[in-house]
Amino acid sequence: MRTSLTILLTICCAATYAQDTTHHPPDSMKVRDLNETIVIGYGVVKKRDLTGAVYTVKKDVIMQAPVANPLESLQGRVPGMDITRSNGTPGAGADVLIRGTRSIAGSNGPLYIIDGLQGGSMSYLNPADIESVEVLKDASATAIYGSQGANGVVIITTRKGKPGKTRVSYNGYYGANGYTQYPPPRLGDSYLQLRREAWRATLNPGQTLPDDATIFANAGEYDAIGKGQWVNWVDLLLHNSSQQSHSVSVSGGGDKTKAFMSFGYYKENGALKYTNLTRYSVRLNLDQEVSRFVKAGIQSQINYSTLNKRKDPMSVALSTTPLGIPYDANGNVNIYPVAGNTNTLSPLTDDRGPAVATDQTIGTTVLMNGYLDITPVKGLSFRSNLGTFISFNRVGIFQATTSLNRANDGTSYSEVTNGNSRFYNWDNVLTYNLDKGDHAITLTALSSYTHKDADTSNAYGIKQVLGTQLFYNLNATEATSRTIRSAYKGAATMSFAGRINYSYKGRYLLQLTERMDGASRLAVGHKWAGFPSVSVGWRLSEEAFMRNLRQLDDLKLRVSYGVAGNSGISEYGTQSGLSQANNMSFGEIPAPGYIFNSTIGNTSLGWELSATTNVGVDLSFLNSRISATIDAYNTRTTKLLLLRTLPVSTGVSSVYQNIGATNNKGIEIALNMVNVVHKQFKWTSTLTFTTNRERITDLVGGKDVIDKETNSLLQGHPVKSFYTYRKLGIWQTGEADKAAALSFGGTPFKPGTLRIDDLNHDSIINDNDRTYLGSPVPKWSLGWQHTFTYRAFDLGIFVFARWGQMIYGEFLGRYNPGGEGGGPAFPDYWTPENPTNDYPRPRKGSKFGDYAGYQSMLYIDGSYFKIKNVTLGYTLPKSVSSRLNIGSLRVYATAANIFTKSRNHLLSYYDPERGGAESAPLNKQVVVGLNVDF
Amino acid sequence: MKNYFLIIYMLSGLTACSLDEYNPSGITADAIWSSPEGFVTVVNSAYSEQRAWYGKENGEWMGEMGTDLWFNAGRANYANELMRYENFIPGKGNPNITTWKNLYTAINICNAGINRIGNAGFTDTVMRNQREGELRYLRAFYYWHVVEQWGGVILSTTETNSAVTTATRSDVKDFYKLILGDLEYAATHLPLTYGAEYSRATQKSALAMLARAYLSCAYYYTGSEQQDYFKKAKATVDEIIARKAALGVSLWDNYADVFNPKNNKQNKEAMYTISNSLTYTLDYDANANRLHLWFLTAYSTKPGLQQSMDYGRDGTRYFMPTRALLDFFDDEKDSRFDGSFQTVWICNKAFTWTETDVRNYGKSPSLVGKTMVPGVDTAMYITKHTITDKSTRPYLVIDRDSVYNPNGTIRVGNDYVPLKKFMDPITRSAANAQPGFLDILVIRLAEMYLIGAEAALQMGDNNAAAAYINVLRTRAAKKTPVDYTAAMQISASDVTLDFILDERARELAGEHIRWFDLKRTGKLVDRIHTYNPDVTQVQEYNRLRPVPQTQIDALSNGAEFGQNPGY
Repeated sequence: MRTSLTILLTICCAATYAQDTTHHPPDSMKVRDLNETIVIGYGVVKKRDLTGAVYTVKKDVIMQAPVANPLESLQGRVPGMDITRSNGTPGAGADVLIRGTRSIAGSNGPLYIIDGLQGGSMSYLNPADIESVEVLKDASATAIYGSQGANGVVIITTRKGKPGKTRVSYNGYYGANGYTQYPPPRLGDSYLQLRREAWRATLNPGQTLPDDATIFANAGEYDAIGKGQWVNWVDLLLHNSSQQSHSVSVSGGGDKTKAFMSFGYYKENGALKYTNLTRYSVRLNLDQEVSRFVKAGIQSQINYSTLNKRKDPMSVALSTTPLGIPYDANGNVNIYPVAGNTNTLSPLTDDRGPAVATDQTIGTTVLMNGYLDITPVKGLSFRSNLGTFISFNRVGIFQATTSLNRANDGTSYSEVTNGNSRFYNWDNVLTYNLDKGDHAITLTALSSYTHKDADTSNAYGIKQVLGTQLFYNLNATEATSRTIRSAYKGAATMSFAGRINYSYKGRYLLQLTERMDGASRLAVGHKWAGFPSVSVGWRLSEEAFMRNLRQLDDLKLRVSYGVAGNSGISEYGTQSGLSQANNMSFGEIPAPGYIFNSTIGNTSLGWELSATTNVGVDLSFLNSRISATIDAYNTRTTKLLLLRTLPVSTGVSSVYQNIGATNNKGIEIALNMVNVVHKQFKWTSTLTFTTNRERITDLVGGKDVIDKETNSLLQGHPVKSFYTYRKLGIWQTGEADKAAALSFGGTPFKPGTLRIDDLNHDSIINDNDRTYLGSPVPKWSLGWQHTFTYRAFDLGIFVFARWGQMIYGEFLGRYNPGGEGGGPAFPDYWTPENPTNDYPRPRKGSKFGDYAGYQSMLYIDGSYFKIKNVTLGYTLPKSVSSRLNIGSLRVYATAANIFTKSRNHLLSYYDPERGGAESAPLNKQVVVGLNVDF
Repeated sequence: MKNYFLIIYMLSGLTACSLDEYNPSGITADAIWSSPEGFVTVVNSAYSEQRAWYGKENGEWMGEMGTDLWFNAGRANYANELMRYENFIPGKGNPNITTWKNLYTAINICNAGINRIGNAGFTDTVMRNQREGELRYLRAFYYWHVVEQWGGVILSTTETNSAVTTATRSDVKDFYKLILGDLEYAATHLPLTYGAEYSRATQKSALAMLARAYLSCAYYYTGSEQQDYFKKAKATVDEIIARKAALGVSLWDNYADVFNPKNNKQNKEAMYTISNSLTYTLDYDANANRLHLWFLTAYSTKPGLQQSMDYGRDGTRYFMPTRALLDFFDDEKDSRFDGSFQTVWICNKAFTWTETDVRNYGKSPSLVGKTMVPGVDTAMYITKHTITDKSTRPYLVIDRDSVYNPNGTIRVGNDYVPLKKFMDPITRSAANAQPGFLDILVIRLAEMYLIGAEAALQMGDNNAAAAYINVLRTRAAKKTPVDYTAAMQISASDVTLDFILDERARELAGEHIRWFDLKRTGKLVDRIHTYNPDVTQVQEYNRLRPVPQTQIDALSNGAEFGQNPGY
């Protein structure tokens, strides 16, 4: 390694290194002033001196609408940041991308820095504890984080104690969850008709359609139809349920000691019975002045949560026979709903409770950051930060013989997994400020070490005697079935960095950064790399020639260039190893075996590099009634880490390689406007707009990597692309000759089958006719918040749009052309009498996947626009609240996810934000909440 | 200034932090496969992939579907690529794709073991050669499946340890050179028995595979070279028969005994077995043996019947016999029909005929009020013969004409005579449980006689051919009430290639082999056209499967490597 200290020296015009203590009143809706400080990596600057692309979201925006996961409150609020909720289960996370996907194999998620340290998770935070969130997007802003910041950095600052009066606040809400959009199943005559059509389509010439007793000959089916025992499993499974959150915080302090404490409780019940999340959190932030030169403090948080999950029954609910008697006379679930059929288990079987199906995760996380701040002489400060993040997880699973998971096996299953993970991060930062006349310089030098490791132990067995013991007595499982496993995983990084910030007259700004990063994951000899960046800013509004423009308050031009890296392969990705083979035995004699890991090692793996150029403009005018930030960027990622699929004939699956390049170009706009200000009425709006063009520019040997429909890598297209046949429609009766001229696997097409685009015009539809169809990356997205205040009332409306993306609609493939078992009602299928172009003709005994080119139907336009939330609040007038000895009080009601409009008609029964998966659909919420400060 | 020193000390102290990876739970090939005790783990894992094929959909689909023996149950369109050669393209059609992957994964492990055995530190040469024998038996076993299914594709004898992205085709004959060399080595060095570990490859397994390989290899040659291989096939069969006792293999006296679940473990007729255990942690996967599922007919909803351990789980039905398969048997004389198929179901649920039932099942109204007694009365009878008094019998009768149209095509396909060879009334946890834990007989002695007969026929020695077949037919002949042994004998003039294929159907139907037999003998298209009117699209090129598109897509020389003709 090079010399330990690549310490560059610095000056700064801005504040000393300290945490942001600016106070933002909760009702603040005004356009921000230029002297407010912005948290950047390892320091703060005034907004006016910022040269990188950094976007700030303050507490008031985060608290605008209640969310379980603070990440969700950023959706549509930060230009360039793409956030979608992962799924509809309790405690589900959010998928976050900043400025598109650069890396194919590596991680694309941003780095989260909570109170200066990595390792925590934003979703663990109580939204009410957050003071501000800054999103660092360009290379100059993230450069100080080097490789870790390659995908952008999200810096979260939690609330601190303030001297003076002790403040107590309560924030809470309670609401209902549910009203899920989900495709309704095919029932009654429609169900009967589909099966008859399926039989009719396979009749031999001259044969007549058999009677219903023959057609509906599955066990018990004909009887159940005769009795009209139709069941809508989806309806029976999905329930409307509740969520609530309560948090109390206390803050205060004296001259030398300041403290902030909070206690949070969150509970969410899922749409499926017995699924829920309960979370408790405690936070303590303490700052102590030890002497005039020395300060110390801690930020700490403990979370304890219990999550109860279930095997998602939605696919079964859609595909199982919609017949039978779901509940017996006592209201208990009938596990075999169709009389006489003991093969088909009820989708409701797990509704019987934990003794049938339990999947419980108990998690404890402890976040502890301690810092020491020394300012030996004026302008010089040294800070040492030690952050630890420790988590413990226990996952307990019990599946009874008749649970959905074990239906085929006919034995019960019990399992316990314990996981411990430890993370620590030690940062040492030296800062020197010099302010001399027109010149201001800040020098920053730092070192950073992170270490993360985790171990897990896991045990399972089958045939436990008593279901009620759940997973608490594995010793009651069949002795010979027990299996025990344990594993360890660890990685470390080491970095050194320096930064110079220079300002001349507050008008010309310069920032230079260099960071050296080392990562244990990479191969020996390739572990280290350096990441430089440079940025300049020019505050035009300070120039004499601009001063005449009265309307203009501020105009700043920013340009930056920098390189960031990504080591985002998994641990041990450079090593070739073995893993345990499936169980083996000869007779009754066990025979352990090892097989090659499916990914083989590559000892020459190095850093993936992203070079970003960013040009930005900040401006505000009309007395700051209107302000805007516009950024344009171009990121070129080279030496792309790629998990390359190897030919199957090698006997292994893949290898990591540094090959290929991607490019992301985009424009981001944030527009804040105070539209109307009257004494009693105010209307403000914030618009964020993001457009990003992502494409792969180079791959191994200039050749596209063709894999499954969703995994292919295509040059000129986004990393995640859909590649398969293109559907033109359905062959119609009059087109029989044209259809027969084309064939698929030797079989000619005929009316009622899918009409696939014969791209190479060879009359044969085969793999050469696959093409790029689209990508889940949106062409653009937009968030538009409007806030109206009238006297004590406030009304917020947040609209969100994501446009131009394609989704893989799993449920579209639930069309059940054989008519056996269930399916959604919406597919409009072809018959000689119904010349639709939606779905092909039913066919006895076929699955949808048996149709030539069926893949072409699964990828559809997923563009949507939704009213994400509407909030109506009432704040108690000061005159009243002060009489009641209350600082402030606001009550509100929010309706979230209430309206969604999709461009494609096939998505009428589905919330496209879910991204196409049929499991865990997204819910709507209606909540009422209360915020009080004492 | 003390502070500065402190700071610099703290910063520089960090450089001592190591960035070496620590991976205590990982394991490498060099570490574990360098001692005899560790080396057995590569041998063990080399066996594992075949357990994803035999007894599973993969093997039964690719080994039996799309032949003269089977229709898609219910006249359905399930797995049409394999069953009816429709829409069969390289990008589609599991298990074509998974099988390719499983076989090459296993071959890579075999190659690793064979090439590393010199560094495993064996001091006991006999043991060393046994281990190598197992590995070479397995490599040959896998490559035989590869070359017969896909033809001259990729022949590798080295372990993959770098990013290989190109591939070349090898001639089928080169495959067989390797296969035969490996099997000859295995036949020399494998022990006669492994005792309790009876499902390891032993000498009889290697000889059986060798006989198979010589026979199929011969068809790729002409003239004297071909005769040579037929001769070797016959000689190997003769060796096996002569050394039966030493090899520890013999025929059961009755055909039905072969598939009696009680005789399943360490079956004396087996030459190579995949064993399953009731002990959960000993099985390759939770599914173990699924053969018992797919051949059944829907019985559990019929009058007087409910699902039972004895009659099996009838919820997943795929294979319905063609009328030709049933007609290959003379069920009056040949016990193999009753040993292979179920025709009678005894009532297992009290039942009284009502007016509705009588109407639904087309019965005579005179039956109303008649009852069935569980364990005593017949509840259902399905037969390949025509029954004239169907409506008046007090149980359900499904005869030839209600199953097949006059031209042999499927009428409805819900009910048919089911193959019962694989039924598992003893190891499953419940009547509706899918996993079965019986052993799978991969190769059994009876096949050796058929190999011998085919080789002899091709050498022009029909007498010898008839003699081999008569051994099986003697066993198959019904002995009571009338002894048909003499009537079952055939003469030299009866033996033709088609006769042998008929005999193979009678003996081996359903045993993962039919497709290979038709492909080897070049009779695939011919016999499907004659006997399976449901398959209209089969063509000569279907004698090879398409190379999975994923393979070609991942090759940097995919275009040069090319697809098998026709696809």
